[in-house]
Amino acid sequence: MTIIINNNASSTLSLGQALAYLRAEKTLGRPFEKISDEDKSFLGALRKKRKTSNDPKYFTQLLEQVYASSKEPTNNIDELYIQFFLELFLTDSDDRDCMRLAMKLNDHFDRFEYFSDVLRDFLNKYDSLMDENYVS
Amino acid sequence: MMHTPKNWDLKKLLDVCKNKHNSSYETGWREFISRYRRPLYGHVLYSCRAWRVARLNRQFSATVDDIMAEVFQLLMQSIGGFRAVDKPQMFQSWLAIIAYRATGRYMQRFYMREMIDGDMYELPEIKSQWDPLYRQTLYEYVVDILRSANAGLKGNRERDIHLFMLSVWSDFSLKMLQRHPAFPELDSPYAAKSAIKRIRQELRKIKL
Repeated sequence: MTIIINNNASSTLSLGQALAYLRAEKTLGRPFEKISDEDKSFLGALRKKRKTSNDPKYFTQLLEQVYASSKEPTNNIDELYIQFFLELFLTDSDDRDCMRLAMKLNDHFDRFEYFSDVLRDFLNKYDSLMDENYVS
Repeated sequence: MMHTPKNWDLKKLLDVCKNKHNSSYETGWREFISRYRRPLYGHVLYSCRAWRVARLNRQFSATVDDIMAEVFQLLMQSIGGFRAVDKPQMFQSWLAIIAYRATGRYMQRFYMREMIDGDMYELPEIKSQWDPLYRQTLYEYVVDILRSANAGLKGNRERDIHLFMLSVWSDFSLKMLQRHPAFPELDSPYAAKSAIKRIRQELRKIKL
């Protein structure tokens, strides 16, 4: 499933793939140049959306909002879900309690499908980017 | 003439079929089968096609026959619940619902067993061809079974159910599961594998 943010409809990257680019940039320490202008614009929009926070409880707060949200994720990605995925995929932490996330996904088929699509796109794209670009 | 089963109206037929102590009980069911076997078979056939039964490694006709047996079992249990005995058209619709429900239950158990055995490699592709409602009902059925089968397992139970569903439903490899960003504790090579194994062991103990 290709998930496209409304205002970046010309980019063909899904949210998971775009997050993989941002994660790979972080790992490699440099941005990707050989991508289309549309994709660059999409990545730029995501970078701008990312709210960095030093509050260790920031992710937990986002999680609480996701739990409380009655809004099902759709192809027009909700701001809350973007913030959640940006934090989940781009911030490393060994101190997250995501058990309720698992319960929420087990309870809600639509969210599980959406989450697994984003996660699959992220992992596959990240692997291919690292294979292509990693220089030992 | 009214005493001939062929001439019974729907009310009479259902009155006979719902009462085991009625002396015409068996005659009534023979008549019921004679009247409704064909439409029921059509509904089951349609439903089996919607579930993509032909894609499974088993005989299509054998599956349909198994389900037909379950349809009649379900009818014997629930026929007393049909109230609109003066509305034959409504009865036809009710029969269709029974047939779809029996097929759904059968297919849920079938796919659940395949997931437990880990043999359902084509599931991600097959389920993509299902009606979204089928996908959702099967997913919810599997999660319910997983929760009841693993009721004794506390702590990571919901996480393990989620991992199991990612593995069997969404075709995630163990390597992918190990890199699940919400569960960094899965980083060790065997953590995800043993979580899924644990779920399977519990599932094998239950009778579907």
